[in-house]
Amino acid sequence: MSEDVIVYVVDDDEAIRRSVRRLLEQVELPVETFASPLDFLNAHDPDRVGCLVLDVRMPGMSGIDLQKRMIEDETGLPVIIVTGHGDIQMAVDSMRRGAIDFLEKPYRAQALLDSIHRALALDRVRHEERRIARELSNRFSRLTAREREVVAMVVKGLTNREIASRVGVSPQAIDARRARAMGKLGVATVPELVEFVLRYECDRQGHTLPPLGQILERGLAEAH
Amino acid sequence: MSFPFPREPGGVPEILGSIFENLPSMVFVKDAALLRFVTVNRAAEELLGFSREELIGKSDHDFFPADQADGFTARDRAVLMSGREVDIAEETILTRHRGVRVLHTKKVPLLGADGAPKFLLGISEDITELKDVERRLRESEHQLRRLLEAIPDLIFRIDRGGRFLSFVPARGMRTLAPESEFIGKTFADVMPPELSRMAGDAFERALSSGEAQVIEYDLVEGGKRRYYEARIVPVGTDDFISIVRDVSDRRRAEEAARERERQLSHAGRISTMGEMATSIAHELNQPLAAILNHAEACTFAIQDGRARPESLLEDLQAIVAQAERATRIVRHVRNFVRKGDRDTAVVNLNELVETTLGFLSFEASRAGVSIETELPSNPIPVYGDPIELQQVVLNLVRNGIEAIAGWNSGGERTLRVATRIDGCPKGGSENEWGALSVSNPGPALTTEAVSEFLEPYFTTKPDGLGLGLSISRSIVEGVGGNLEGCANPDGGVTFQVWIPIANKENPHE
Repeated sequence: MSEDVIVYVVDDDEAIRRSVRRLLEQVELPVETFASPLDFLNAHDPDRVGCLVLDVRMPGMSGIDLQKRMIEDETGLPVIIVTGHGDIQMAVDSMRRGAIDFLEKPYRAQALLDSIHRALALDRVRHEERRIARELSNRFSRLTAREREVVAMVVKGLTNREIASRVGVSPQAIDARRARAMGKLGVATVPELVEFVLRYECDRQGHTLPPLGQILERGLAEAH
Repeated sequence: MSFPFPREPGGVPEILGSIFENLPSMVFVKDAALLRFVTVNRAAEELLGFSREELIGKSDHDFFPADQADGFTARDRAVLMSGREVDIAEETILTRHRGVRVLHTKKVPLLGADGAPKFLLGISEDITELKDVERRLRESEHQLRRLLEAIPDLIFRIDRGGRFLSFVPARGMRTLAPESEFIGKTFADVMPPELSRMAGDAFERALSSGEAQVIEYDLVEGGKRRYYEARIVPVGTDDFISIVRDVSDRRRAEEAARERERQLSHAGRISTMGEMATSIAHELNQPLAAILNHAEACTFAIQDGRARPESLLEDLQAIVAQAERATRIVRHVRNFVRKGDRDTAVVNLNELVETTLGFLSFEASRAGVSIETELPSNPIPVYGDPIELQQVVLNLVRNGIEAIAGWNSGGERTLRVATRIDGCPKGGSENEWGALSVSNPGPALTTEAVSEFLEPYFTTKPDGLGLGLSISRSIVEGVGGNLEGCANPDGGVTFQVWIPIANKENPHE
């Protein structure tokens, strides 16, 4: 795996840190280990695709505290909880807090690796979405107030003429404004403009929109 | 019917008459034919309550109830018939003024010149008072004996040569030999040699000191061991009393109490174990997880054909180290639950505290309590059973954790555990004690409230037995140490333990 990913391991037991490092190095996964949650919070790089393998029993801030803290900070890094002795309540609680997996020590390497790969895949998607969202937001921010007004009306389905009469300028002026806005947003057609706005608004509300038309296409394929 | 003693002044009969008159015993003479009084002395007048004028010429039937008079008359006749004197050791008589009296009477037939009985001489001593004293003496003797018999102890009187003189039995206690076989014999004759020697020594000591000596011994009787306590008390100059008590029941009760204590302490360990199971599982799973990780790293490397010997070696060495770690944990746990005799050894207090805190780290972090330790780098050697001492540390630290967990103040949640070499408040010079203090923050308490914590069955926990601290205290006191609790000036409690330092010079203290 040559891509720039990182597996963070937080465990207060030196032997565990060392053995997990050996295991992950053996399958060529870059790994960084930390003895305490605070060390991790100070050192981790939020821009890298990665995941966190976290022991819930630790002195000072416990793994559960760290998980809570990461939710508050909206880190979004996928977390795999490991524990030396877990109970069902502990597992339920950590999953509810967004852990993607709960492993009890001692675990088989494959179980950990499976969890890590799933976590990395999730984080890769999360990073991609974040990148897209940032890009959309970036482009949208270049629009002037008047251009945003026109875009909003176009998306609602108003014709140039209707927009012109509402805004009180000529249809030609609206035409030019719309072309400028679509140029700034990087879209060529009205459907593309609609998709852009839909995506942008979804991101702002914290949702993720799948590629448009995917569901329909899949439906058609199944019909055949 | 003439007066038997002629009254001739100055003559011998005159003297006899005077003696007769003044004898303190009642003397009377009756004629043999009709048994009528012929003469009586003054003592008779006083005893019977009639004057001689009233008596003379009358018979018993004139003064006494018929059945009594019949008895006297019958006896008189028997004496006269036999012609020999008769001694009546005891007869009762109802007198006119003095009520019932008890008499010792001698009746003698006086013969005439023809050899036939002519008179009956009676001499009666009033033994009523004597009889009364005798009776009371007998009663008191009887009571004394009853009392001695009621004492559940065997009592021997023994002379200074160790010879048994007499003995009072006790119910339910047997002597080594039947009474008839040991009275007059010495210790060596009836006792087993060792006991005989022991008793002999105690006698020597009692003799030279003049003070009571106590010896304890046991004997196997009918296949059962019984325990005795003998108290040897000098009495007078030459005799001794030995009071032997069967103390088997007391000994057994003591034995049972000790056994209960051992069981309780074992139960304490077991319940502690139950509570610690989570912690132990965690402790064991750590090295197991590390072992699996290293082993699988090796497996992957070999499967991929990229295994380098030096890399494999590193993993294998880590596996060995972690397997040893797991073994140590298992050994600790096994030692901890082991019952059986106390195993005294020199223990490094610091190491003991560190190991025990390892057991409790999970519990502490789950309760949100951090433990701060202050352990000097030099070892503190103390003498005791490592497992028992570990239990003391465990109890104190767990109490501290639970106290902080149950204290919702939002304040500091740090338990402080420290060891040092120290003097002890109960006396003893500096540098003689290994001291451990466990201090938790908490609400302000009075010293009295804290001392209550050390009482058995005192607990603030709904599921607590309240035995942790009291067991700890008996363990610490068992090695000659001391456990105290005191309220912190700024709230919370500090428990302190002092255990004698194990020196090279006196390894048993």
